[in-house]
Amino acid sequence: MKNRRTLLKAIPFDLSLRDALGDKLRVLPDECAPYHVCGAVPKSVALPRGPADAALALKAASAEGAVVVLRGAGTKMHRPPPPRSVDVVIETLACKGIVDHAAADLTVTVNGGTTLGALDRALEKANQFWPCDAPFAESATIGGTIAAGAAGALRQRFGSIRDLLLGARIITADGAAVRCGARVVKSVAGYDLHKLLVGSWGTLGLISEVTLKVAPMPETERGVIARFANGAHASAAALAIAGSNLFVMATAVHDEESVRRVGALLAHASRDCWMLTARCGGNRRNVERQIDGITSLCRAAGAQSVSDLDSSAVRRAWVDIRELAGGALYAADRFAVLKIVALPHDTAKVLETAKDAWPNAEVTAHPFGGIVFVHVPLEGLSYGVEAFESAFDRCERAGWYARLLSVPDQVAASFPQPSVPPAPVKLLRAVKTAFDPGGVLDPGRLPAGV
Amino acid sequence: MNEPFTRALQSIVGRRYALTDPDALRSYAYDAGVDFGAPAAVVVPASTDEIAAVVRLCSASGVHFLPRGAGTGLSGGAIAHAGGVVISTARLNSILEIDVPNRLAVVEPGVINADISAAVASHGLRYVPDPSSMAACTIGGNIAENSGGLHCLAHGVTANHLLGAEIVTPDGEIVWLGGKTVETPGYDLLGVFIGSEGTLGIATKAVVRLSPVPERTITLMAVFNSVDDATSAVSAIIGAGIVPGALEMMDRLATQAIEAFVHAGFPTDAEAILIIDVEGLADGLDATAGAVASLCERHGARSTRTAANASEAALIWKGRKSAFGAMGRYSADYYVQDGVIPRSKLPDVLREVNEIGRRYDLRIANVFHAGDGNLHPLIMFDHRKAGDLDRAIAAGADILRACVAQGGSISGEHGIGLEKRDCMPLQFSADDLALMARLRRAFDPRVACNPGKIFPTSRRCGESARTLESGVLPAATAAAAGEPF
Repeated sequence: MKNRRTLLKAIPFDLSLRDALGDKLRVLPDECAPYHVCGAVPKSVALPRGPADAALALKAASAEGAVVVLRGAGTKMHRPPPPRSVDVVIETLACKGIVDHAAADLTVTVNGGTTLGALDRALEKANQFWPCDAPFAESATIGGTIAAGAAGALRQRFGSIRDLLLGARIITADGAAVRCGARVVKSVAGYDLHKLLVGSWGTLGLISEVTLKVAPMPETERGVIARFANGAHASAAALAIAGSNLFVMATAVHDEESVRRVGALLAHASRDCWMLTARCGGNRRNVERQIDGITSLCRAAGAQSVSDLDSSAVRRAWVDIRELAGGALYAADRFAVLKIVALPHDTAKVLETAKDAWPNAEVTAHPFGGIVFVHVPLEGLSYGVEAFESAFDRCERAGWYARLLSVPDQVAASFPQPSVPPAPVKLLRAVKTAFDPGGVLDPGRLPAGV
Repeated sequence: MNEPFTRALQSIVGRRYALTDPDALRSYAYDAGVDFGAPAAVVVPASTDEIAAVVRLCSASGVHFLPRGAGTGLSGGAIAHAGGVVISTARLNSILEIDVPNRLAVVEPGVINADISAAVASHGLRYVPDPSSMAACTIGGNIAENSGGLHCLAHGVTANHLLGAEIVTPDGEIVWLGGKTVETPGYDLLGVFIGSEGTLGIATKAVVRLSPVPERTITLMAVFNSVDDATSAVSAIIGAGIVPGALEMMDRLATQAIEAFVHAGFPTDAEAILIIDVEGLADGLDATAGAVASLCERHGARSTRTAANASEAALIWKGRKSAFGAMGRYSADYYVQDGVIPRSKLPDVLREVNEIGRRYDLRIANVFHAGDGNLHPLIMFDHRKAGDLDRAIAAGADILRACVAQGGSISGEHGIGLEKRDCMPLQFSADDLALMARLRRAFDPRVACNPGKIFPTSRRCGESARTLESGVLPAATAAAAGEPF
């Protein structure tokens, strides 16, 4: 870190980085501008051709004490606060490809720069899928999705990303390639360092390769769309489904405005309606029973209407529904995107609080996990800083964990931040230091300034 | 143990709960594995605060310490080095809260695994992970080992069912990792704490996830004349997109021992038996069970049988769960291995296991979680015969080498502990281990919490080193306690 000043003087960038990357290094301002991090333009951009290149780039940057920000497809680069400065952005997109799809073992090993779309297509050949319906389904990378902890509604049936991640190869700041976990479905050998990567936002190391649990495509799928008068009824229905022994794959709750963003749901939208969407899989009779069960639980919770989707319709609809969470369908320069995590039974209260604070915000909830995504339109500055501060204050008092996933770059630096719930800050810092002693990897932007 | 230190321990937990009498200590000197080492003292605290006070006292006095649950572990994780203090969680055994709407429970670490499911059964809920020792083992130990169980094929291991834990750090601080919500700020410290074998701190409360009990479970048994047929049936079931709740296999030797012990109705001339649970909604479940049975038949099963009722199913499972105990009929001692391989490599690795048995002139029975590719070869030996144990350990190491050579892992659920620490280099490079050691120091800068576990010493995998008797710590082990990375 002490050397950072000398680096800044050494533009064009350090020779060793140039040696390592040759023509895969960008240093001109107009080349670097598109790689900005929350508005902060890096001094150089490294485009490694593979993990070996990436290791060299990290090692060179870290020898200089440079601040490095790791980037996959760049779908989640608007997360505040912006870094104070960025020396190098390392983009992992070229570190891609399926390493080994062990279909009989329900595992796949992939390079971190592989996109979710490419992974889906590879698994589809064996009638399997990675049961993580993260947003930016086509473009986001596996590494970025893991680093962001961007699990979707399928976590109801299949667990969150932590549960689907069996092992990893990490390139640490010093360029060392470190393996943890295993390539088999079960291993307790050594510390599960890979679990730390989920939600690490690139601050512990570059996710160069991962082994993931995959699932067989269900024999058949069906879906349910139910309309409710308010978010409380829709959430209650979703929780009744989650607490039942129907074992549905996923349920989500959306307000009317977000429903209107999704072509597949548009026909079902109506004024002042809240919608519950559910996806279920199994054999034919099993799925029929699930549909019956969901239908009666929805009706008991006050559904105004319930209709079902056939196999191809639910798969098509889910392509859109998964994008409703996490800001994927919302222009990054016009919306603030929040994620609020509460106890499942507080979901309705979170929805009410969000709608109260920002009446024209669009919300999607995964009540099973008590997770609410709030998309707040900022055009015409309809909400002042106070609206955010008072909403954050209410979250804090209720014991909810609120986070900003994305804000427009031009206001990122001054955007109010929610307070961080009590956290083992000393341990979080010590873990960061264990992986990245020089504080090279995007320091200071995680909760509590880690 | 010097007098002032003992008195200080007593003043924290009370005289009755600070044990230093050698006879009392002896019962804490082993677990269910093959290692041995008596602690210098055992304390049985009554609260998180008492645990934190003991940890701070140890820390200030330069004494190492470790947590211990029921001592059912198989890798020596709960065995103390010379001079160490065992902190038993036996008195922290209350279920503190059951939150049905949010499907979670808050429990103390000494709560027995099976007691959670029993406590929530009336709500149609259960705690899913079910190690064979579930009637005795504790949640604290399950967290330390990231325990699996018979039903983790479909539902995952302990890590998949834990939301949070209050821990006493090796510095004696009380902090929460995770919590009641599915996400909490910062790194997933809980994720790395689970399975850390008591080396990163002591769990003093756990928030566990509760899951709905399936409406119906069908238990099937398929009998094969060859191990290869049985393993190819396993692959076919998974390949058909069916993920059973449990998918277990036993070979002939294991079946014979179990049948003589439990009388579960297992044919003793079968080369391999699969036990399969399919579970879920009653509707459509018969079709799934039928598909499983016909896949078994298509791959050479000479017979398949569906348990007619719950008591028949319970008897079949009782048989499977009694496998380790049943070995007593055949052998004075057994040493159980825990390697994992890709399911598709089962036939090759089983042949190699049998070959290893012949090479070392030891009988090896196999029971395993076939669905997970998690082997449990039971290597039989007699500790009274000179060299028998050493040969068993060497044979076990060869089995682990075979697992790693096939892209697998040296432990699926039993942990590394003392037993397999010298086998870690089979699976991990010096760089891998160095980062693990740095992580350990992030939690435990003085390496005072359960030292000598997980990390390799200067010995080779399979070299015998079970001499941790109080006061005679081997030099190499003492060095390892400092973890040279």
